[in-house]
Amino acid sequence: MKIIPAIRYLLMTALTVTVLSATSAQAFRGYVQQAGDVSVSWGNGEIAVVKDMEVDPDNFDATHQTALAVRKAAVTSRRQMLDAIYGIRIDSTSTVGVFLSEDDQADARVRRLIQNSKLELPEFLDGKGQLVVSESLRGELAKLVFPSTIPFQSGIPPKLELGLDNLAAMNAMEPTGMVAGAEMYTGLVVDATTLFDVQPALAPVIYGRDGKGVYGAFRVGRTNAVKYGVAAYSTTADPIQLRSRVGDHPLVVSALAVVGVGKTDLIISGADAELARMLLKDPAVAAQCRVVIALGKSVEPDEDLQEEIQP
Amino acid sequence: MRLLKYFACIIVFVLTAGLAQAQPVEVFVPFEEGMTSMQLRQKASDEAFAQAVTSIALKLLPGPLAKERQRLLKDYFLEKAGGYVLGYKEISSFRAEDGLNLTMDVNVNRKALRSALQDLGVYFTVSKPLPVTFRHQGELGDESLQKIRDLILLTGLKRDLDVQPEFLLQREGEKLWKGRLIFEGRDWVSIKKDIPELWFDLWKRYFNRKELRESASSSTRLRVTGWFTPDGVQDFDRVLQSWVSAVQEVKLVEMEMLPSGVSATWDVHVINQGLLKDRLAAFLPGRGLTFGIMNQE
Repeated sequence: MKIIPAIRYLLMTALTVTVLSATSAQAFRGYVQQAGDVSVSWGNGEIAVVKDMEVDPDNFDATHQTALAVRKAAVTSRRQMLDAIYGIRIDSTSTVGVFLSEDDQADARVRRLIQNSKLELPEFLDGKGQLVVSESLRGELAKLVFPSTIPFQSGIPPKLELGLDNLAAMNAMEPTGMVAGAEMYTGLVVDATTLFDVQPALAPVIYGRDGKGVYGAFRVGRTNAVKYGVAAYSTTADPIQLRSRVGDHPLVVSALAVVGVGKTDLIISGADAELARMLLKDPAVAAQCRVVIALGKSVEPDEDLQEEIQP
Repeated sequence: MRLLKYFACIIVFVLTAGLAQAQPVEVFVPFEEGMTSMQLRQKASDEAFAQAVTSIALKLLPGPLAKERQRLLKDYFLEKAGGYVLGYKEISSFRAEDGLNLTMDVNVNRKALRSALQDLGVYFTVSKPLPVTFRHQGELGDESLQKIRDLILLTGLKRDLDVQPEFLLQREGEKLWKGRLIFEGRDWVSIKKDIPELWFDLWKRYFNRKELRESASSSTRLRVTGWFTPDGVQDFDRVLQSWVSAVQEVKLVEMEMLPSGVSATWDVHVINQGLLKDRLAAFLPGRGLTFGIMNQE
C-alpha cells in the first residue's frame, strides 16, 4: 500500500507550497500606506480599495437594489483610488496630483485607466460582502504619471546642498576606502527604519554624504522604471525577505538622514555610497531596479499629503 | 434613448480620434569622434524611428517572425522608417558623458505599415513559407546570390520545383535586371537597376491580389457590457487598438448608456481569433465586464 504515503507526501508538498506562496506574496506587498479603504503597497506597487457592503437579501427588489449598490460602491471606490493616486509623491518636490493638474491629456488618460481597474465583485453571504478595486502603480499608470522632466538614465547624478542640520544629524566620522568586493552584491537595500517620517515616492534619490546622487532615476531607463518602479519599499531590511527584488546577496546600508521638502530622499555614508556606486555599475542591477528602501512599520499618510490631494 | 445613443457615439468618436497610438522608444547613441551635437541628435532620432517602426511592424504581423527574418526586416526599414512616422514627441533627451540618451513617443502610421508588410509578403508568410519556382538565366555573382537568398528569406519563400508562382531573373543589358513573375495565367514583368527594387516591385503585385487581401482578415462585431461610466469604454478602446496582433482597424460604432450600466460595440478586423478571445478573457472578466463576438458577412 504505497499509495497512502504518496498521497500524504503530495498533500504535504502542496501545503508547503501554498504556505510559502502566501508568505512570499504577503512579503512582496512591502510597505503599505493605508488611508481608510485605500491601501498602497509599495513593494509590488499595487493600489487597492476594499469596500465592505451590506444589502438586504429579503428586499422585494433585491436584485435591482444590489446591482445599484454594487455600481455605487465601484464608482466610489474608483473615485477614492484616483484621489489616492493624486496624493502619491513622485519625488521630493511634487505629487502625481500636482503634475497631472498641469497635463490635462495625461490626467484624462489616468481617469479613464482607473475606470478599467480590476474589479472583484462581492459574493454576498447573508447580505454582506466585499468589493475590491485594484490597479498597479507599474506599467500603464506609471507611463502616465512619470513627468517627462525626470532625467531617466542621464548618468548625471543630482547634487544636494547639505545644510548644517543634515550634517549634524549624521555621524561625522565614517570609514572610507572600503570598496573591495562590490561586484559580489546583487542589489541594494537602504535601511531607513530608524528614521522618522520618511515618505515613499515613485522616484526617490539616494545621496552620499558628499551630497552627490548615488541612485535614482538618473541611473535607470524610463522603460525599466515603468516596469519595476525605481525602488520598492518594504517594512524590513532583512535580505532573505527581499530576495525576489534584490537577489541573494544585496548590499545593506543604513540611511543617515532624510532630505527634501517631501522627505523622500535619503543620505547614506560615504563608504556605503562608494560601494553602492560600484555595485550599481552592474547593468543587471540598474536595469531591474534592484533597490529596496526599508521604512519600518506602515503609517497613515500625513495631513500634508491629504491636503495635496486634488478635489 | 436613440438621441442619447447618437450623442454618446459622437462624443466618443471625437475623443478617440484624437488618441494617438504612440510607440515609446528609448535609444542610446554613443558619441563618435568628430560628431557634432546636431549629428548625434539626428542619429538618435533616426535610430528611434527605426526602432519604433520595426517594433510596431512585428506587433502587426499575425504571428511571431523568425529571428533571422526580424533582422532582415529591420535592415529593410532602417532607411524607410521615416516614411511611416506621423509624428513624435520627445519625452526626454539627456547628454551623458559617452553619448546621447533619447526617449520618444513615436506615432507610427499603422495602416500604411500594415499595407507595406502585405506588399512585402511578410504578412502572409509569417508562419508558413510560400513554395515558389525560382529560375535565373546567366551567371549570378556571389553578391547577387547573397542578396537573393536574403530576399527569399525575408519574403518568406521556399524554393520548390514546378510550382506557381514562378519567378524568373535575368540580365537586361549590362546595367539592368529583368524579372518575371508568373501565377495563374498572370505574367508580371519588371526591369530595374538593382535586384531588391525589382524583387519588391514584382512581389508587391503578387501579394496585392484582391482575393489574398480579403482572405487576410474577417470583419467581426465585438460587444462589451458592464461598465459604470463611459470613461471605461474609452480606455478599453485604447487597449483594443493596441492588440494589433489580434485585431486591426478597430472602430467603436456604438455606446449605450442604460440604467444597468454602459455597453459598447466595435467593428474589428480579426487577425487572430484565438488570440483575441484569449486577450478578452484575460482582460474583461477581471474588471467586471462581459463580451460577445459576432462574425459579420
